[in-house]
Amino acid sequence: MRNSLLLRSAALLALTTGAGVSQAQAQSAPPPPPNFQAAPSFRDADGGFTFKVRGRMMYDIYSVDADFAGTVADQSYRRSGLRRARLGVEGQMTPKFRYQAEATILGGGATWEELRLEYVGKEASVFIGNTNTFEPMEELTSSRVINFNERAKWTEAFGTGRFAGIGAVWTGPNWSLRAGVQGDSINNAETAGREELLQAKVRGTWAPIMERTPEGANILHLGVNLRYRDAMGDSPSAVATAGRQGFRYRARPQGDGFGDRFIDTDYGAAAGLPAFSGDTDRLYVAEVAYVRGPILVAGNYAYSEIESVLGADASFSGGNVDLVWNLTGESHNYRGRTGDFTRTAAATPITVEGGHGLVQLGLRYDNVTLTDSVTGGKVRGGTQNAYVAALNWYPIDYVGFKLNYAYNDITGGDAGTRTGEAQVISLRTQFDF
Amino acid sequence: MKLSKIARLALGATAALAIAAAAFGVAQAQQKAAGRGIFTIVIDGSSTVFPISEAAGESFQQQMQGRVRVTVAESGTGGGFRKFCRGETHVQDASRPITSTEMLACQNSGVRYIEIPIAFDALSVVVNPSNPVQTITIEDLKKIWQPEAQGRITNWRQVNPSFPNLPLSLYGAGTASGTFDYFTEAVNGKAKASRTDYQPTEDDNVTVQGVAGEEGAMGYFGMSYYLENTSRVRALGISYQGKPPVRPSPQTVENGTYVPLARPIFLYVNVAALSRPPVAQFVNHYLTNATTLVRQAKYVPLPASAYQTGLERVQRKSAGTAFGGKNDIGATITEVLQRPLVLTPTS
Repeated sequence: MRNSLLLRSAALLALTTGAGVSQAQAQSAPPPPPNFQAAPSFRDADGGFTFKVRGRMMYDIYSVDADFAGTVADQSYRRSGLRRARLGVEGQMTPKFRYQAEATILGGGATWEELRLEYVGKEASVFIGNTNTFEPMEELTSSRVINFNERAKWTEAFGTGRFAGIGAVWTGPNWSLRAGVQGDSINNAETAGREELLQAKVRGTWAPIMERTPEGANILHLGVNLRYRDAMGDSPSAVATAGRQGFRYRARPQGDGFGDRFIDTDYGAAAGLPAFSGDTDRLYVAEVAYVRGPILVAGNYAYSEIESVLGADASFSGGNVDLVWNLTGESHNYRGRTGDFTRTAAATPITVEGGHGLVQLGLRYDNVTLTDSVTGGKVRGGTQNAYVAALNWYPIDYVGFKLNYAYNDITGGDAGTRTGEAQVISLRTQFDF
Repeated sequence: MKLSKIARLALGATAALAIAAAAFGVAQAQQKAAGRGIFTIVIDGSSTVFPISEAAGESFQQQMQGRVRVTVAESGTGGGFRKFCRGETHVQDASRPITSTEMLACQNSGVRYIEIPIAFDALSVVVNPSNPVQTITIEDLKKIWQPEAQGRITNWRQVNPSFPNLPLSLYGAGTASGTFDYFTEAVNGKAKASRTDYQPTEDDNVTVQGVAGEEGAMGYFGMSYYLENTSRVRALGISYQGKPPVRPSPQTVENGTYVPLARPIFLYVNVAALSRPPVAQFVNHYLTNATTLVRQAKYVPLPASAYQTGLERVQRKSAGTAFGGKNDIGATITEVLQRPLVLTPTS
């Protein structure tokens, strides 16, 4: 985490400097009144400096029912709890320097989520910090606007997320190209003998069809992602004390309330050494999404080639297909410059005059396969097929109620011994600003 | 697949909700179907262009015998472009060319547009008929309207010693208006640079009433409102760069002497919307009858070749603007129509 410490210092210094610039600018012209978009947004008279507080809260009530034929994996319970609680700031110090800093506040502690500084160049933007800017669309799309309560589980299995590093983004109205080099998450603790992992990522997107009329949008999105990771081989002493070497491949069923992951290549781990973990891996993700009026059809296919710590090489895969119908008629809101979906504004948000908000119905098929034949045997991480139905209601743009039912069919987990099903019903209440 | 009691209950509740939601969707679809067969063409934007588009809409609705509805709103050029670039309108009325910010907004949401000059307008500076002032220079107009005049220039005599000793009260276009952008750029040298202690309005009738009711009042708006209210307000002759003053009229606009306040006004058409036959038919109707519609609305028609160019752009779906995101005070229509069209701001 050596470079993460450096990044933290640089980001905080930049934020402090930005505040100074803003004060100097504020003296030259009277500031306009704040603009309210769920939270006040401030800018100076020239619009060069902007500042906004941001945050989100997601509270889940969920029911979990796992049936593994009377084994210890069986469980059935209902719980409730905070899924996400974040607070942060965003803005720009000058039109050339933007920032975003947001932290999760859960369980008495705080961890950084997005913590980045962006330089907006003429041809490209440069990002430095802890960011998911270089991840596939399924990971990149904000949790505030995802159509299902959880992201497709291949993102968890293959370790997408926010990491510290640097990269650049080139964009056009309907395309984007982004490339970055990253290490660990900025939140990772420093451990003696543990090496900073190395990741190189490239993502390209193109929307050959991108039209919008009062009758709705007509959009075709295509995207590809490539990622190379190297765990950089932790020292034997670090493995002995921290019990980790290389990358794990595992995922919970749909629904984050589950503590258990029923598919996992970490089965039967010997002391400090998992049965199968990656030394280096390559991840290829293909994205496609089509919007026609109120209908969205989207799919991802992810394929990972792994060179394991133990020498056996394997390949795993995953993917999802989504069908989402905005029953109230709105088209999904796509951004060609970032190649992702953002908030869809309700055509008739609930106001004192009436309105019914945005109502969505979604269906998803989600697959993660962590089983593969390798030289001299077989990796038996298991396969999970999930079928998810979602009913979402956004009475206004910044408030949502999302009911999900997920049926997970799990085969061959835990070294081939775990086969069963898990059902998750979750009701999420969320707001953001 | 065995389901526990809780899961069965929850699954049942989810299914019931999904069915309710689907029923809601069907009801919505049925509601829409009730109005199906009547396609609505949505137009918004400039209050200056509004009378022409309103007349075009009415005549098109008659021609289509009720099978198509045309709604024309007047949120101002800026307010209209915000909706147009979100894909919420089919056609945008504009009393100035699209700005670079608006070009980027359209680009980012996937809205491509065809720019069609539709008429000439003459921004008319009007005073109360009892005011003895007959003409004014652009320099004196700047003394009145520039930001530095705020709270300081409050009497006609402060502007010019030959003017009467009358308190000055001002009426003008709202800041979302293309008329405001054009007037401030032509008079003050910078779009949107204006004193703010005046009565702003998107409704030009408010300006007519205000100027007609106060001896020392001054206002500005498009020529059609002046020609409709010549008994209530009087247009000043405008003197520019030492030349003799010229009053706004169809003749002075056509012969090019009413400068710098004569300007082309525009339609912007969403290219994707042209795949809807009613929209394509409406735009064709608008351009084919433009000369008549423009005269009816008391504006100055463009040469017939300009409307032909507009029709060709629609047929070829030639997207873009000839202005690159900047206004061009004093450009001739012939020159504008010959420029290449761009979808990305040129600077």
